Amino acid sequence: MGSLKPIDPAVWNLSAARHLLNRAGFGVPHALAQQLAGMSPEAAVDYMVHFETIPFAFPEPDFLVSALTNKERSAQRKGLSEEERRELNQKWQREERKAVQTLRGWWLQRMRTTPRPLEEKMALFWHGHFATSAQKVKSSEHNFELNETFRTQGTGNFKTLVTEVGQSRAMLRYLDNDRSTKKKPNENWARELMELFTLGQGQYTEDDIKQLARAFTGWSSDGREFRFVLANHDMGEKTILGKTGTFDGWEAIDLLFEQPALSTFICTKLWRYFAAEEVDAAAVAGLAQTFRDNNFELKPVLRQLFLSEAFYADGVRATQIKSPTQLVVKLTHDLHLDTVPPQNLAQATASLGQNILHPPNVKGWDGNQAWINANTLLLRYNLPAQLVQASQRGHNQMMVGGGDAMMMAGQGDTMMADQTMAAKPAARPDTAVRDQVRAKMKTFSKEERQAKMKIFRNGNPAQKRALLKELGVEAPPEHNPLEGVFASLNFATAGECVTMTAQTLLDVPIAIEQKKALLTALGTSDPHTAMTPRDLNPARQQQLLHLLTSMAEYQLC
Amino acid sequence: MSLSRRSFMQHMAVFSGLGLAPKFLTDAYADPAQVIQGFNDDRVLVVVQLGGGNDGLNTITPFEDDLYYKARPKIGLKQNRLLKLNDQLGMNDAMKALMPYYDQGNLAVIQGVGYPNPDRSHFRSMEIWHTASDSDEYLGDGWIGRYFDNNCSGTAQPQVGLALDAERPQAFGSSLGYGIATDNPARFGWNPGSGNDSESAFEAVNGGKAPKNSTLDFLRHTTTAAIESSSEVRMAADKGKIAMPQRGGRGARVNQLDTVAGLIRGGLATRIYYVSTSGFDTHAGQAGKHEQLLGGVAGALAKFQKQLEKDGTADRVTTMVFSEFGRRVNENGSGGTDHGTAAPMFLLGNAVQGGVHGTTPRLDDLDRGDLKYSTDFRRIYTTLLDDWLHADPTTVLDESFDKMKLINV
Repeated sequence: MGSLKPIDPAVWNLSAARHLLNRAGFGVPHALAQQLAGMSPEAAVDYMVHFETIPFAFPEPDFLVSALTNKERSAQRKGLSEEERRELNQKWQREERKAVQTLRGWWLQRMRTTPRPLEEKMALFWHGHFATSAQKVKSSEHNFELNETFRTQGTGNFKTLVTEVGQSRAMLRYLDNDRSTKKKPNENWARELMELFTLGQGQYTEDDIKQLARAFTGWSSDGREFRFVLANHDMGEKTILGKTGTFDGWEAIDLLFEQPALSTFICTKLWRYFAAEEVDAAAVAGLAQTFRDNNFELKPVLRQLFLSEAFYADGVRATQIKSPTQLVVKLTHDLHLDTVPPQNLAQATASLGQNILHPPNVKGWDGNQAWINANTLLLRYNLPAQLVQASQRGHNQMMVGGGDAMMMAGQGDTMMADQTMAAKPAARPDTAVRDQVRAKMKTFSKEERQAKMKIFRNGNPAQKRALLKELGVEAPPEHNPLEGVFASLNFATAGECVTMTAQTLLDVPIAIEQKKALLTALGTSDPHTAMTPRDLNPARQQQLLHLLTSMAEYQLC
Repeated sequence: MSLSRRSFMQHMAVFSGLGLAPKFLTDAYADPAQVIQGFNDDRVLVVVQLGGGNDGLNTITPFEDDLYYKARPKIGLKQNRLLKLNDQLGMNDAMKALMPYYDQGNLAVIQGVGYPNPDRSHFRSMEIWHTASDSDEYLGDGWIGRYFDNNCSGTAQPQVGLALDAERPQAFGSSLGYGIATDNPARFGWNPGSGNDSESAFEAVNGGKAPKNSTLDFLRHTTTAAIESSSEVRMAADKGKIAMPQRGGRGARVNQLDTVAGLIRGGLATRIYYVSTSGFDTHAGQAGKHEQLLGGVAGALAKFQKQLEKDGTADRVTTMVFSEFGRRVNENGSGGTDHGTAAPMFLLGNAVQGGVHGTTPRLDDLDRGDLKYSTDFRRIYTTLLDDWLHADPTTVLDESFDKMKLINV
């Protein structure tokens, strides 16, 4: 078992920095790991934890459907027939579903491009902890509101977070507290608040749940904001966790925070999310002490954890299974896929079992080994090739001047605080080819023009090339994002190529047999075969990278 | 589900694939060669989903009820367009391919199937059918997933559930991860996508040893199971000589039933197949369009049944057809119908007790313009689980539902 003693600066290196970035973030951007490795461990951890000073301008979602208050909603329905009401409701549900889908992609794109990885990693933690699903909470605005709370309060004070979550429209709806009244208290929120959100099973009685539910009666929403409806609140005396009084919701939260179980429960969960499945009881006890000593501020706990010897122990490093989100975010960086449409990112995590904004139930995602079964593992192994294709599609759309504002926002990789670290410049939408195509078709009939433009926009690469040839327009060079992976590597032999690429992508060493198999992708069995980045054609690049990312090792972080 | 049980199951899947399953885990009374690995018998259930909300009243039509013709002056089906099932009900004659099965007593029509407090959203109602939840209950796992989790023995392989789709249906959702999805069984497996044949390299990079009980060890075992399972799917596809999946065109996906017949013929260890088609959301211009859809489904089902007979597998298979809801009684102004509630379901197979089951909803007793359901869909699930799959329905459904006499036991 490790200790919470800070890691010895003498053993701080790139591998340790990568571990920090994997866990406190999504393992990306690669340059940030290099940057962290060059700092002292303390400075590196502070850089990750105290991220507020790092500038990040990500476009606010402008696609949300404005939530109506209950009054506005009934005013809108007034005078409508049953039929018309149904239609209105269906239209509203359709629009909300679409907006929620866009929001999933928005968040993934944000995770992909943020220079403040811990902010998003914590938001994802709280999304799984205080799980609400758009399956029931239909409003995109309500979903976003809670998502934003996880961002603004996610590394702040836990008591503030619990209160804000309890008052969020998404949680009020998801666990039915918005229907909880003095006459008919609903116990859903009260139960989960103790069982899943703060104390853990076995720390309270069924009667505590009933009494706690009474305390929260009146915590409600008018559809637009939190409302404490005094008329629905039970002002009578309650006995909760051994104390008696006329507690309301705020006072009830105070009572929960007096329980010693709370700090242990939350720190255990943080340990399992950031460090290891197996709980290090001593480390968790120390973190819980820090949590209490600091009035339930999260940053001191996170800082202590990320700096601790225990966090960098052998049994902790590279033993986690990447969540679908981590896998997708990391893959797009590892393979330099900057133009995957955000919707495809969201679809990918969903097909792997992590449908963002739709956790399976109030317990969130089980994580780790539960991500893996024969079906999802094959999907994981087949994902790299699919994302390469999606990225090429996204690139082609940009080339014709289409594309998507959110995607562009992520384009520049200007996410580094230190400008010297900035990666390659943004790809600018190139409309020159499209204009040439249009010019060549001037004399064509309208139908013909439209048909050809359709091929130009949506056709596969072969169809597009044929069209350009037919029109006599010079085809732009084929977009091959993968060459970016090799551009920065400095190898002279096939063996070095395999070793360096594996080191870039994997967090564990590979065996000699695996190296041999990877060499076959380069068309040789001799590691001494002379080979430089220039010698690698796109097919070989793809074969090597797809094999590497189709390894069980690549699922680890 | 504890991790150790989970790992055990995964490991068993690996061993069984390699023929190393301990004898005591295979079945006591059945000949192992005759049963689906992980189960006591060789029975198969095929689920066919009609997405969009199939118009029940124009599928099974109450031709003696004037209210029907009153509600549907434009799209109501005259008697000459109906195949009489009894003196009240007629089947849309677009479905004539199924009539011989009705006459033989192998097609069950279950009238008025739905659930309390019906939801008219496609998405939500489909979810209710997939998870077998109440209308105000939100479940993550699916009914088929729960069936696998609680009823497979340790020798079951991931392909006990197979959906012919790119993604697993919500109905397969489970904690043990049984069930796979592929829209192309003949190519199911690791697909490098670059046209190169490096499968041996893929197996080599994933073949190494890993420390016992490590995460990597778990991943290696699951990879082996996935390779094994996908190669069995491909082998069955090859052995069953399935045609490549057809693309495009309405109803094309229903021809995936050909693929299912092929995989059954090829000996795949699959208990439940899942096939879906869509397009039933007939809000406008329903006449003709709906007939085309029904004709496609009926034709595919009849062809499927014929193929099973030819292959000698028909006694092993029961097929269930459902849609997430029926449609409004009154036609709308665009010659179509809007989202409704209860609708008929179909069961097809040699073991099916044919005929009309359940109670036909009354047209003079509507709930805000919609039919009142008479049979909860979970009664059909219960019947299939108990009488066809020999599973305890309470391991799948929270409440208990009365069985119906749908399967000849």
